Amino acid sequence: MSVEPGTNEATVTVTAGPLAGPVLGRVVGMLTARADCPIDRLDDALLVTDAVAAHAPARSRDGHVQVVVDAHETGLELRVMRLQPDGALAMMHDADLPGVGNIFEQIADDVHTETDEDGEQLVVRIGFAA
Amino acid sequence: MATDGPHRAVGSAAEEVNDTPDLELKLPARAENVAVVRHAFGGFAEALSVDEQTLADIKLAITEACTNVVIHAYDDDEDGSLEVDASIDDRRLTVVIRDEGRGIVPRPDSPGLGLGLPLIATLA
Repeated sequence: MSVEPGTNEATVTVTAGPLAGPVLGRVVGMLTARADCPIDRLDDALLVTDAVAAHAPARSRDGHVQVVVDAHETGLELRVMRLQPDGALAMMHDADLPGVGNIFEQIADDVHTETDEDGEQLVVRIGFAA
Repeated sequence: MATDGPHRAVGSAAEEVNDTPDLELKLPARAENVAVVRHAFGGFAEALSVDEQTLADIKLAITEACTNVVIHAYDDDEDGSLEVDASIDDRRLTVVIRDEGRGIVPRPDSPGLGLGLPLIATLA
């Protein structure tokens, strides 16, 4: 299988449970840092990743958390795949913190849901602009 | 180290990984992504409380196998994939490193010393 030239997209699939946080955090952290992300946005990216790792397992369609990570020079996109019906919206609600608001909406530049044949997706985009 | 077909290298117990590995990674087969795989296994080991020496052995074996993919699987101008599956079963870790390249073939111009596979076999 070939890979589209110039992209550095990684797909991480991990069993829903204690593996999700440590594995996702390290992969996202490394890919984001390598994309020359400013340090404050790197911290934001890891906060979003922690939120994904915390809430995606309960909304997973098949007991696995799958995230497509696309880190490039202008931003980071996390695409949480294979969610249950209405799972993406439920993940959004799960990330509401009293007194803080919604973690995804507070940090990301764009959050939306999509649907394809593999189920629902939650798409989170973080820009690197200062 | 055992090989399971020309495109597949199996570390640790030479058994089939079950249908749903605990960890799957799919990345472009580039040198910088070998470090990403190593780092991911650091997180994997952290969650499983693997001791440092065992983790070092795991990382070394995985690095060798992934480096083989980066160096040997594809032509220089070809951007192929590097896939890593890992499963834990009964306290045994099984790792499958997979590519979609040309397979293991004799390579007189190989830039390596040919020590990678024996090293993996020693560590596994």
